[in-house]
Amino acid sequence: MAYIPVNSTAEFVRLEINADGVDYSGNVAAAFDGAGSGNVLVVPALQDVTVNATPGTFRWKQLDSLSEKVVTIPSTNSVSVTMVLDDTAFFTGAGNTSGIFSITNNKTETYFRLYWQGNTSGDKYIEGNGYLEALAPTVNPDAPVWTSPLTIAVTGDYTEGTV
Amino acid sequence: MKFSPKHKRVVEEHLSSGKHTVILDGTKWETHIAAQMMGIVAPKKSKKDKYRNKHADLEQTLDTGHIEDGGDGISEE
Repeated sequence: MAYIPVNSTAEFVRLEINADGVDYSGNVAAAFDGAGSGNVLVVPALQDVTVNATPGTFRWKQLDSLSEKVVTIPSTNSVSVTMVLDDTAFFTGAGNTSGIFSITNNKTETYFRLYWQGNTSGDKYIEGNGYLEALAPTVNPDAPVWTSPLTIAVTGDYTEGTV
Repeated sequence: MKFSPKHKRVVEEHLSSGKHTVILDGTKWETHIAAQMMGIVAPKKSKKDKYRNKHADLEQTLDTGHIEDGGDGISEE
């Protein structure tokens, strides 16, 4: 058994997005390793990350059974983070990928890759595509730095990979 | 680039398994170059260094007055 610590150099969680307008649905990896690599935006200053992978279920009861029956229905997948806003990532973007605010505002399809523990050979990641949502930047006198939650509503399956 | 113990471990694994390239924080390296930079293996001597060393040996040989056969033709006699 091995834990997945993320508390030291080279082990940080890393979230990359690519919303350059190209359809990578046949090969999501190309959005990060191939043709789309110049348009990858690293979402900086993450404060927390939650990966939601929830298979839906349909339950019913029968008169001839003492317990419920269950079948699965399609999963609801999403990746939620909280981040400290960075001027470049939020407004400018990288290459043909706009800033996070524009991507959300324009509802641009976004490819993402989440590294669980750094991106060195052997490290694991998941990737997929979806849409940015739940952006809610906030600031107040006692926490005078802009922060915001962000959710990637994932369409389709996650794909697992290794660096 | 700042290397961490994890980087070192990964490079050592790649060296022992004979993999030519390794990715460290998203950057692709030739394994032996990364290993040299981390001090895991000694840097390879360049041709220039080899020439200098050879030349230094020759100078030392002349100083001591001892020249081996098959050298550059210089003889004490």
